[in-house]
Amino acid sequence: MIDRIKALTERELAAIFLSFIAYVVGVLFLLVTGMLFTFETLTEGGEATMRPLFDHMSWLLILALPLITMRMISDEYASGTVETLMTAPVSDAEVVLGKFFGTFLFYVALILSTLVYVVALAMFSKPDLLATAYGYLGLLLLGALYASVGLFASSLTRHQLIAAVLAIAILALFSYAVDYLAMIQGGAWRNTLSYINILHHFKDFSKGIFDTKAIVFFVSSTAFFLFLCVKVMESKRWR
Amino acid sequence: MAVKDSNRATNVGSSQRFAIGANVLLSVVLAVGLLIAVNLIASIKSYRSDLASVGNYGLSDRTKNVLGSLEKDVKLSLLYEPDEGDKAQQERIARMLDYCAELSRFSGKVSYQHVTSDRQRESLVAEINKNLSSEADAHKIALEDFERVRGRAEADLVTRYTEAQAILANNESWLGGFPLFTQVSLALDKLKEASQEAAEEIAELTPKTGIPKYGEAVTRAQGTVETLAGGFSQISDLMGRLTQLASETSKPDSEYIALLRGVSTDLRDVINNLRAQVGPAGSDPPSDVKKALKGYADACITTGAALEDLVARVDRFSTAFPIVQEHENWTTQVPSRVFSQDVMMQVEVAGILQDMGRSLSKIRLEVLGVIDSGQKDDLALALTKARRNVDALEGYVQDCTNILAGLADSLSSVDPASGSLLQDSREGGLFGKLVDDLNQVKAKFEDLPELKLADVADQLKDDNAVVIECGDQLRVVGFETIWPARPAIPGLQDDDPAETERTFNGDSALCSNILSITSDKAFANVVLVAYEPAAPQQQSPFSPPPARSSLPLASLSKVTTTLEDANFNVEQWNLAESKDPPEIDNDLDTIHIFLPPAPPQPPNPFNRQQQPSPMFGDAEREIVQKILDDGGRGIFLASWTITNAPFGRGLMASPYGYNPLLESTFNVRIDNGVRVMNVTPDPRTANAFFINALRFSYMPLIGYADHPVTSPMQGTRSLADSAAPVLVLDDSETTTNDDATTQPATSDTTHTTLLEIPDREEYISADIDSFIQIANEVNSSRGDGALNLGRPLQRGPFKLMVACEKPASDDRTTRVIVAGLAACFADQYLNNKVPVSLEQFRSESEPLENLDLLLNSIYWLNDTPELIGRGPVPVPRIERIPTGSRGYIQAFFWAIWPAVVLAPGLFLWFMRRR
Amino acid sequence: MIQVKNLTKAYGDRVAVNGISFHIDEGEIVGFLGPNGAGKTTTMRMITCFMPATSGSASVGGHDVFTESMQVRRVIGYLPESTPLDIHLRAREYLNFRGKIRGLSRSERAAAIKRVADLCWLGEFINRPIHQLSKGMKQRVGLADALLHDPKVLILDEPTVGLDPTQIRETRNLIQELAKRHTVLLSSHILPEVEATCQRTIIIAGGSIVASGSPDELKTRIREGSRLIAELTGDAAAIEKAVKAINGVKEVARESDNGWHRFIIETNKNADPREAIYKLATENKWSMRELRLEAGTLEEFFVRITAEQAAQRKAAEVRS
Repeated sequence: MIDRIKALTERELAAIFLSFIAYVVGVLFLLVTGMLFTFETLTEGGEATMRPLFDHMSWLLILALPLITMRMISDEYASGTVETLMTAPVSDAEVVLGKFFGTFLFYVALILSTLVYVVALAMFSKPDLLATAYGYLGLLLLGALYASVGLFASSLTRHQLIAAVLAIAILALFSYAVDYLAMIQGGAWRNTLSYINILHHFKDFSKGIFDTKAIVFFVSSTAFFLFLCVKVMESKRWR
Repeated sequence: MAVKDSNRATNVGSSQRFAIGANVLLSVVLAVGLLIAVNLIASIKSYRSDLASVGNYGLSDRTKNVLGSLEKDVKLSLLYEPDEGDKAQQERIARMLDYCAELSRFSGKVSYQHVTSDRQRESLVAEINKNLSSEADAHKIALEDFERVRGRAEADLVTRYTEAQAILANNESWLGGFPLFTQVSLALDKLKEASQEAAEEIAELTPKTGIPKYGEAVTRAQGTVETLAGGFSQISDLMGRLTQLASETSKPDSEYIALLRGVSTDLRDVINNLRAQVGPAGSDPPSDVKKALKGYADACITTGAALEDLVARVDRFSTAFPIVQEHENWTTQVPSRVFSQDVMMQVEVAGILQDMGRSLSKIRLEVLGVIDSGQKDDLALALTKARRNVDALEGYVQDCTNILAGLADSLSSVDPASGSLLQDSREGGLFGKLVDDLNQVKAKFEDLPELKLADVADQLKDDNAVVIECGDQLRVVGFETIWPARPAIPGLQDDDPAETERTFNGDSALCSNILSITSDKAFANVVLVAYEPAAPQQQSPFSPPPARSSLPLASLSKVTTTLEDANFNVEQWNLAESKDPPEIDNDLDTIHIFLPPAPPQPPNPFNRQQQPSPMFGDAEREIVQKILDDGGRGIFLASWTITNAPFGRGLMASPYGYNPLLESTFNVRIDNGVRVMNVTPDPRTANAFFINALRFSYMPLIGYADHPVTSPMQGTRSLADSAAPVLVLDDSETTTNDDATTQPATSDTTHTTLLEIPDREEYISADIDSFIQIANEVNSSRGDGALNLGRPLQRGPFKLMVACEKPASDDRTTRVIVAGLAACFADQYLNNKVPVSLEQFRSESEPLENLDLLLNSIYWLNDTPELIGRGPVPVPRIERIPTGSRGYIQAFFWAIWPAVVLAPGLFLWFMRRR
Repeated sequence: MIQVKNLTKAYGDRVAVNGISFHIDEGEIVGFLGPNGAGKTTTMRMITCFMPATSGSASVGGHDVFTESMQVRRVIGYLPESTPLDIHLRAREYLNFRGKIRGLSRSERAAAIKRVADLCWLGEFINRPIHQLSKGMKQRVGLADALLHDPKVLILDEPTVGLDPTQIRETRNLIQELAKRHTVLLSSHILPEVEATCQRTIIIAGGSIVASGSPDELKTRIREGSRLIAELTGDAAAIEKAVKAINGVKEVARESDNGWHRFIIETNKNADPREAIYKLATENKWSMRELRLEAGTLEEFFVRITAEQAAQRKAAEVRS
């Protein structure tokens, strides 16, 4: 099983890195974060922290990752390769996991390329590296969740664009809509609503606060969406 | 190709399909359930801790301890007004809410609310009002009493004023004859106005809605009471005396009126007698001129005696009733020659008579002189002169008679209006009752307990305050306390930022307040030990001003308040007045703050006989030594002090009285003739530098050690004035140039440096000579303001604060902190805003951070370091970015790095083309 | 090897495959024949586990496609109609990936790729990115993929659609080669192909099997008689009359072109009037330039049978 997942991951990685959209997204992401970094963070006398940049990245990724994942399963439907894939001796779960890990590895590369900012920061100050590392951990978990949602959306339709829009909508729902609702509601509802708010949990990471709740949230939600994705793939067979 | 054969696709297939569909649905439902369950468990049994070594967002250990031992509920109300446009405010609100959420998360006893709507604010105010009201019940009652009395007083004043005006309107009124009475009438009016004003102000201060300021209202009322009572007493007194006079003079058989008339008659007789001697003017001279003149001279004596008698009689009147001298008719205008000028002088009858008497004796001597000479012509001349004198005297007599007659008439007839007023004034009946009542109210005011919630009203007016309620206790934590200014980075031109950069100190501030609001008794005693002899009696304008300590007891009110708010019991001890410590009736430990003793008075060069003023010396040091040897704990404060040397010898350092003790016990001294300063080196010229006027008085302190006392100070702005370095001596160092002997230094003392300004080009020290040189340079500076001493500047490191510890008897340790920062704790330093920009006249908040330094020291000295607040966590800041680098960085991030990332893609694309 | 029993696939009201049953033994080449939309692809998809059946069952190599889907997939090599490939990869990389998926070790993969590259004449194109390959080449790559793991069963959906005649011939040869060692089920709507390659043909139309058997068997069912083509000159009408008179001639159709007349003669069952016509021609001195017996073609059969089907359906519709 591991080998098959490995093979599928490699295939996915090749697909990503041979496509142009990954580079477009990557370069745009770096440009935007670069601009934000040099204008907001790297100011004399300012606080030497990556936190505002992390917060910016969290919403930039809502746009970026769905663009990467949108074609992953939709394309298979559209081009028909789903047929050779699903008639090969691989289970649907292996397929989904392979795609997930491929996306995730790409995402890791993207995030690692932002380490230059930390280096730049360290040249002019003594930032808290532990908190920064923890923030990156949060980013990784966040990206994993975004990727799983994007993958799920992609599995629902053969049209890439719809998959992207759907993924962005789901992520925005669980980040901003829920936040707004929590603000206008009160009491017990507020607690629940803020708990299902992705950015609320991410804030803990970017602040450097270790909370098992946040880790459990991300891991379990990622697993949940991957599970849903597998179920959708399976149900495509049963149509 | 729709064959309607669908019943072939039958039950077997659809049940299969159904089974599968149900399977899928079930598994999804289970997955959702699992997801919720896992997260629920995680939220109940979660572990949360602030990983960042910066520790900025979580709760400090101290806070956790304090919250853990809470017994009562604590409620926080955040009065932070949300402002859409102000991003900084939004961030602050978010931060506060986050932090309060953390508090709530940790302890169920803490609840919080964000007061945004006016309704919420009003209900909070109402709640506080309830608490305030019950505390101020006594005040309210006192104020009500006052209002009652004041009302009566005002009514009375109005009545009496009208009466007085009516009396004054009548030209013939008895009282109108006294100009003094007009003053009284005016005074009545003024008092009425003052009373009205007071009533209005007090009503403003104690409104029905909003928060009443009982403290201020009571103060105002007390002032009014004094004014009214004083005024009433005076008026009463005056009127009483007038009454006495009136009741005497209105008697038909008044002896004093008769006296006046009698004097009048007798005066005429006296003059007639004199005239008889010389005859009227123009008449023939008597036969024996000489005899006549002799008779005249004799008559002068008798007349003189008679006049004296008359004066005595008049004086009797004015002695019995001094008030009568105030009558307008008691004096008259008389032409006179003063210094060869003709003036009209206001003279009283007795004066005239006395003058007459004096001139008579002069005349007599003249006449006798002429008689002796015996010349006929002279005699004739003398007679003429004598006649003329008598004419003049007759004129005076006429005047006096008129005055006296007029006076008698005026005084004897009292018009009904005056009479009624005078009747009322009998025996202090005019305002006497009111004065008693006012004094009662005054006593009540003095007995009022102190209002603790008094300045809550003011604080709540400020925005961004946090109200902490616990039971019936209330604290308001202000904006500056939670968001103090950020520390400056030396070398970074932090001048003129558009707005004060702030850092978050909520954890320490809120925890401290919660701690003090929930503590029942004091933690320890703090005794402020000073040496301030009373100012010498002789205050000739030539004696130099008395030398004062650089931190006298009088300028420690802010420190005292801070310590009391932090639950310490503060006492004062002036060694110059008492050799024994103040009486303390609790069994808490005592921490001493040893204030710099007042330096010895410079001898007065103009008055050598002045008694030598008391001086801080061995006796006092012995007392302190005993305290220390007994395991005492204390803080020694001094700062850079220079005074004028006697005999115009310029400036000198006044010696720090405790240095001998510090040297012999702890091997340290405060070099208070040296000042540590912040300068800006001139990069163009060696040894040249600029002095920033603002930083001269507000020098940023850096170099706080990682010690419980000073770690919390690392993240906040800390400014000092007149800082003097602390020197730690080796055993081999010899002693000072102080005037006391020193014992050999001891070696069982451990020193810990708490604050040491590192060796940086921005910090120098200047001894007296250097300082004088600098001052001279400043005054005669060249165009660009750069100063140059012609030699390298003395650079650091400079210790400003050192902790010393040595074993004492009975397993105890003596522990002291020695700091050259006394000037930072004076009221005049702490109460003024820190100027930030001279051009823009901007200033930022007062430098209150150093009070934390003091508090932390006391906690540590008291062996309770766990109570020291964490302080704002020093966030790592970005230091200077060279302008050239910035360009490179931008180029890198915007072009180079994305290109680097893009390169593999292009490479791959190329490779695939083959 | 392949057993299909009452396999049905319905999309709501529409029935695409209507309870078909057949079997394929090991080593057979069987052709699925039918017009577009007959249900061939759907049936194949069900057999390869891509789609579930609405009802009925299928098994390959003894494994049921529903319950033992993995085993089925392991023994099948499937080439879908659209030959979907990862077009961004090189052919070799793609095959490598497919090999990994199927659990081949590195050395096994290398050997297999070499083998299938030879087999499918990939040549140097194996190192080209797939998007640079022609349709025919792509097809071969797909076939190579299907052969990679040396499967017992090959299922090929329209393997020659879109190819040029040379490629078609090559592919046909290849399939015949393969048939020696694998069981092959292929589908096509091109009759000559099926005729040429398959041992047995299953004709599907409208979701049901309408005929099944070897091409010869089928052909014999097409028509009672055979068809003759004769081209003569002379009096067309007279010739036609004379031919019609021959014993065994059912019908005569005539075309004329430039003096020559072409007669299409339908004969009765087992009648062979060629000799008679020759005699007639020589008798009447009509020049003859062609005389040929056309065997019944599958195409005719196909057209006939599908037409019959269509008619039946129409009748059924009218009735209901």
